[in-house]
Amino acid sequence: MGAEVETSILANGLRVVVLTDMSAPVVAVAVHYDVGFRSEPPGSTGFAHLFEHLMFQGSERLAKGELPRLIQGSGGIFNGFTRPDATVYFEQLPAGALELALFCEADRMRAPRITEENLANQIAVVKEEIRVNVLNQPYGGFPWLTDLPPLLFDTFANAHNGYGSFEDLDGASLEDVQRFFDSYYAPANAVVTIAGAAAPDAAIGAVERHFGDIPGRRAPARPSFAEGVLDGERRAERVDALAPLPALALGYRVPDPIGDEERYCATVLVASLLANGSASRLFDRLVRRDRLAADVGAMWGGLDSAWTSRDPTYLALVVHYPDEGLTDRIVSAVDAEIEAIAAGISVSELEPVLAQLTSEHWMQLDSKYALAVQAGFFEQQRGRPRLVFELADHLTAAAPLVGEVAAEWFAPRNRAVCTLLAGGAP
Amino acid sequence: MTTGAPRGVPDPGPYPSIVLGDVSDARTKDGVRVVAVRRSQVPLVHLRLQVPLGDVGPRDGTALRLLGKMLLAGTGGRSGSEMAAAVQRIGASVDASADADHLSLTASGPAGRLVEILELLGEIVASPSFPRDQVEGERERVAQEVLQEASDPVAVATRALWGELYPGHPYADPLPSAASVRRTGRTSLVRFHAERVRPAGSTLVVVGDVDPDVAVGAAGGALGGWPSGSGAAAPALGSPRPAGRRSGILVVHRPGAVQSNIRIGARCEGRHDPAFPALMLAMTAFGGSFSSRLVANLRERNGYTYSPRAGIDERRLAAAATVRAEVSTDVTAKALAEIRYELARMATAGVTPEELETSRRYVTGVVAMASASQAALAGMLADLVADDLDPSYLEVFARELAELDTEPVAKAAARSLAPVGMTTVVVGDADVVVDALSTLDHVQVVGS
Repeated sequence: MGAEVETSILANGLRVVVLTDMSAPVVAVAVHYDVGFRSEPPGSTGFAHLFEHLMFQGSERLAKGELPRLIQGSGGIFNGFTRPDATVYFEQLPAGALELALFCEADRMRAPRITEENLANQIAVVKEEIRVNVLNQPYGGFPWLTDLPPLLFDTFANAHNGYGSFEDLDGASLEDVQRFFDSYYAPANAVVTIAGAAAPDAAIGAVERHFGDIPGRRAPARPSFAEGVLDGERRAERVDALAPLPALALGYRVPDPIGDEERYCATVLVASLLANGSASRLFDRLVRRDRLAADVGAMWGGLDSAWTSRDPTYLALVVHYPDEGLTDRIVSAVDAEIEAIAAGISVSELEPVLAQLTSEHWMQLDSKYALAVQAGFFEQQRGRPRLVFELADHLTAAAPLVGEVAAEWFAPRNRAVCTLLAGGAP
Repeated sequence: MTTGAPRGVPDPGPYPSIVLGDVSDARTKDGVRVVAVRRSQVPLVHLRLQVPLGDVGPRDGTALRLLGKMLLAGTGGRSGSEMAAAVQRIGASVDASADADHLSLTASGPAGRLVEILELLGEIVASPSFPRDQVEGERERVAQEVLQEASDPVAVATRALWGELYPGHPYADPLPSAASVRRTGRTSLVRFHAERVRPAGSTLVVVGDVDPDVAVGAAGGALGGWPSGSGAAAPALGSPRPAGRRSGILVVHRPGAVQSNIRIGARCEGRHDPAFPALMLAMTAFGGSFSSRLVANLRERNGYTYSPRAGIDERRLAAAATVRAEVSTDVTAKALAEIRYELARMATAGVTPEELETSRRYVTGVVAMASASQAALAGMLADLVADDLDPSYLEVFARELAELDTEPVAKAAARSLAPVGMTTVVVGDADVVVDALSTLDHVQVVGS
């Protein structure tokens, strides 16, 4: 797949990426704002995500409820999500509705319309989101929300709960909303990505038409969120009153995804060797052979993708198992597999992992909104949207570093181990 | 510089169109229907093999759960570990699961590896060895899954509604106990496979960057070693008897729950019924999209819930119209009152012309976009052909949607969304929610 990639930058600082693929009459738009959980100060936990909800509450020329009606009424879908380093909004629509999506995104970048009533309404909705995904759900939020980040990181920016406390959410005011918008939702702090059936020049012209008159203002300087190296293994446990069986997470600090991209790519390979699917070493050992666990998997930054965060971030190996008494045996088995990888991996063992990662990457790009979202992350954080088509080459090139990275970054001193104890009826 | 943004809201453009393209549709000599379509946006191919299992009986959920896992645990030719390595070596992935309608094998991988993927699928479905040394481990994994599912209120609520909508039928699918999973022997799995996993009546869908005719030919070859089976086939699954409506509210007690899981449902027309497109639009306007009445009321006006939704639960032999909302414990009765009010309003007055148009374009657009994605198209076509429909159903469905006006949609709503015909289940803390719920309806409380 070799879509044509064009980039541009408007006078107000808005960056534009267009990935043209005319094979189907479908187009997607993604808007990445360079703000996420990490930018929340103490007392404002959960605010970036709450703000994402508020961006759907109406804007200068769109009453509350109109954006969903217009986008879905064109035959399209939309959503938004918040990550440590970004807040992302996207639409995927019939190709003819591109202008409509750009109009909606531009209108709320220009002036969201947020009232006391809408703010109170969405605080209530976000609390229900937290109840359904965390408080009323066995294993809810484990280990990404409140378990690994405070063990792996020492600064508030990196360690706090990105969904937020109910107290902080209740304390959010319209002044906070305005200040947050003014600081972080400047055109110069955003990327608009279009993927699919849109000719490059026409698409860039349409972005210019809709976003060009949004006044430019300075993008906020991004502070350093860097942390020192871990001084040794950290451990914690907590009881989940709803979980019938325990779970275990091993979180590893990882190389800088951007500044040390080659080693980061090698980390992705190590994680896949260990825990990506039923051919992985840990599945074979913990699940199939030793029967210590029901399943094992790898999560990036505790979430979905290895390619959405800047430094510092982490990898979590998550294990569900029947009995707390097995914890030490599982950790020892993980260490043994890591040592084996550190001792040297043959090309013939890496080739299948590369083949698997390549297919998984293509599978992700099967939908146009996923393509727009990933290319948008690469533009936002690296200025390299074409990386979305070159990832497999970079992973392949990192193969010689696998042993070194396994030895250095997957050592016990560089990790946190968190056990979720079963407090629910088995 | 620019000339200023356009003041008006842009037109949504042409009506979304569904273009299926060339379809290859044939049967292998052993009776497997193979349907293949080319989609080339990424260099992959997706396969969905579905095998009807016949009537599995109301309490055989254990065998269904174990069957999928044990198929991947080893074949006559290789161990589970060797199979996983063979799949990974070519960059593919394979999964297997079973429900009351089908055994489903899902595979994907590089398009250039289609023949090898087909051969692996054929090996898995035709010659699993149910290795003795893996049965105990897989049984234990399923037992743990069952325990986790029993603790998940969302799963408990959905299953409680199924029990009401499909009483005594395999679709009710009660959660097996961990003990019954641990008791299941290898012999019963071997027999289950021999009796029920047969090519006749099975369907295979192939979508990807492949020539459809070549794919169909390759499938015939790769599945050629699948024995057609000796002895009589298992009896076919019969349609569930019509479910009477349970009056009142069934509360499944979950002490200390911070939310209540509300489920409302009624049996309804399925895809084979001419009224299905009209019902789909009624459900979409009611609660099948973000711009629906259910979302506008429960979420955007009242803040009672995060993601309420309504939809059609499409089983092969019986569909159900269902509504779901996970709401704060303290607003349980208020939320149920609002849902029933919206149901009654929809059942008595139908949809507005604006709602009709929005829902029609939304449903058509979603199908059109899915048909442009390899994985999504494979999933849609797998459902259709397993349901004895042709791929062209997608185009027919879109045409029928385009022709509907508000009257048939109102009729569909009156038939399937009238609260008087629907069953209500609430999973939540009975000690807190029953008093308020009793102001709406009779309440019956059961343990979880």
